[in-house]
Formats: sequence, structure tokens, C-alpha cells
Amino acid sequence: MTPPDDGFGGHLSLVEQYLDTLADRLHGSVRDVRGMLAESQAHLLDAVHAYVADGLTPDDAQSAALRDFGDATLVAASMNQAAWSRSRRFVLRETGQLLVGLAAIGMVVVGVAGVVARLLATAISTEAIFGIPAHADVSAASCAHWLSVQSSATTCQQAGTLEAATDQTAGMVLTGTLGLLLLVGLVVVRRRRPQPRVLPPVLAPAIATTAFGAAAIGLAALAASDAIILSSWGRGLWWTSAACSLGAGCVGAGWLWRAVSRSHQLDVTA
Amino acid sequence: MKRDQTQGHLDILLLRILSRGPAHGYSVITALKESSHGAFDLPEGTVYPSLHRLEHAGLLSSEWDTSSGRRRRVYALTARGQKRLTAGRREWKRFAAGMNAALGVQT
Repeated sequence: MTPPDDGFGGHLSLVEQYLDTLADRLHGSVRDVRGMLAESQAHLLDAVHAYVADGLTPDDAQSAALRDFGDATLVAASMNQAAWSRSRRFVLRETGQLLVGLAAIGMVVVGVAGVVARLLATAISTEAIFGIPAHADVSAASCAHWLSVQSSATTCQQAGTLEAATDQTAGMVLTGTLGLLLLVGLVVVRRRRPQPRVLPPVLAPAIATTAFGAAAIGLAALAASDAIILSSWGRGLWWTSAACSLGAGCVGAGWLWRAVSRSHQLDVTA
Repeated sequence: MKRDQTQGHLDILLLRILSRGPAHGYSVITALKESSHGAFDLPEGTVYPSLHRLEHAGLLSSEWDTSSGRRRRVYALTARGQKRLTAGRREWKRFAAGMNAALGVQT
């Protein structure tokens, strides 16, 4: 806290100590906290001046002013409660936007993984990317359906793989496109209805890094086990999705690093 | 007066004090103490959240003033605040009349 211009040719140490304690206990946005501290500081200096004018020494005047103002913990709790009431709406809205934004990014990553998987299938082998696991128990009805829609296939295995390549790529690209539209919509909403940022700036990148990191591990586990999840399979597809999630997690980690560095710089300069 | 009783009526009292003209927090709180002959003796720091809440509700406006050489936040009553004050005074009169009658207090 900046030492107050006390008008006594020096700093009022008791008032300064009190403001430091108050600063430690106040929560909320930097702007709100600065405003509350500036207002408290102005009030205390006015009170000290008034007590000095009444004949008290500066030290006694400070003690009296601080006693009237109230215990720092009580005052901070009262200010924090009021600040939370004011910012609750913004917190809820920003949290909603954060979750929608992260979901949209996740959908875009799914779309990217679908495109990459398709390119790899074309370049390497459709079987390696979308192939039905060898242990898969395929029903006769499914086989008949795949063979009917994949006329170039000669075996059930081949038809199922081609069908998966078509359906899964389409589904993933569609998911990615919807994610992109969602992101655009979110940007438009934020520009049209700007609001103060109330959540910690490290929150979104921390969640993104954790979520994509966990997704990468989970998808790699599916790839290693050559799993079938509902109608999705393909060892190469799982590995591709794991790699894309890992990439997204790394981008999130870089974002987190920048956010942490920025908040550290603000702490140092404060 | 007990603190919870005071807090319940604080909003309307703050609006009343600011109906006399814009003022910064210290002046408002000093006026609150003086006008109530010391009955409303709250920790002064806990009055600011009420001022902020009233501002957030659109009943007060505020701006930072540095004309005195020190940065102070000056509050002013808005038109909405004036309406709320008028309604609050009316409610209080009715409430006080009812209580006085019930308790047999002569006014």
C-alpha cells in the first residue's frame, strides 16, 4: 500500500499498518480492492486530522481513528461480502462462458483429430487408423449393413473399417465445426456484452491444461488397449486423438505459464 | 442502538444524508453519527459496503475527486435513490405510528 500523504510531514505508521492488514484480507478484483483501500485511507486520514484538530497527538489520533473504523478483519469481511454480492452475477456469467469456451475448444480439437486421422489413413493405411480390433465381436447384422454400404469391401472386417473411417471422420469434423461456431458465438457475445474479468486469469489455462492432459492420457490408454467404445474404434484414431489432446494440453500449459508470469509481474510491481 | 437494528435502517439513513448533497464517505458517516446523536455508532469501515451496495443498486452514484489534494470518492443521490428515500420515509412513518400506538407511546 502506498504510504498516505498524511499532512504530518511523515507517514502515519499505525494507519499504514492497518491498511496493509486490510489489503491482506480483502478479496476481489484488483480494481475493487484498490478502490476500497483508497477510500479507507482517505477516511482514516480525515479522521486523524479531525482528532488532531480536537487536540489529540498524532499517535492518539491514529488509535482513535482506527478504533472508530473497526477491526480490520471485521471491516474486510464486510467489504468482501458486499463485493461478492456485486460480482456474483459476473462470476456466474464468466464461469459459464469459461466452461462453454473450453468445451468448444475441446470440440475443435476433436475435429482436428478427425482431419489428421483421415489424412494419416490416406497416407499410411485406413486399417491402421480405423481398423476394427482383432478381438471385436461383430454381429451378423452389422456385417451385413457394412457390406451393403461399402460395396468395394470384400470382407466384413474391411467393410467395418471403411464404414468407421467415413462415419467417424464425418462425426468428428462436424463436432469440430460446431465447436468453431460456438467459439465465434462466444467472441460475439463477449464483444457485445463486455463485463469486468472477475475470475483469476490462471483459472482457464489451468483447467484447459488439466483437462487436455487427462484426455491425452485416457485416449492413449484406449489406444494401447485397442478398445471399442460404442461405435468408435481404431488404434490409430485413439493415438491421433491422444496426440492432438497432448498438443492442446501443451498450448494450455504455455497459456498457463504466461498467465502465471503476468500475475507474478503484477505482484512484483504492486 | 444494537448493530443489527442499525444495519437494518442504514440504507435509508444514508440516502437521507446524501439527499442534502453529494459527500464523501467520512462526511456521510460523521453526519450519520451527529444526526442520530450517537445512536448509530457502527464501526465506520462497515458503512462503506452499504454505500457500495446502494451505488450498485443505482440509488447512489459516485466519482473520485482529487480537488482537495487527496483522492476521495464522492457519493451523490440519484433520482432513483430520491424515490426510494421518499418511499422509505413513508413506510417508516406508518411503521413508527403503528409501533407507537401498539406500545402506547405518546409522540
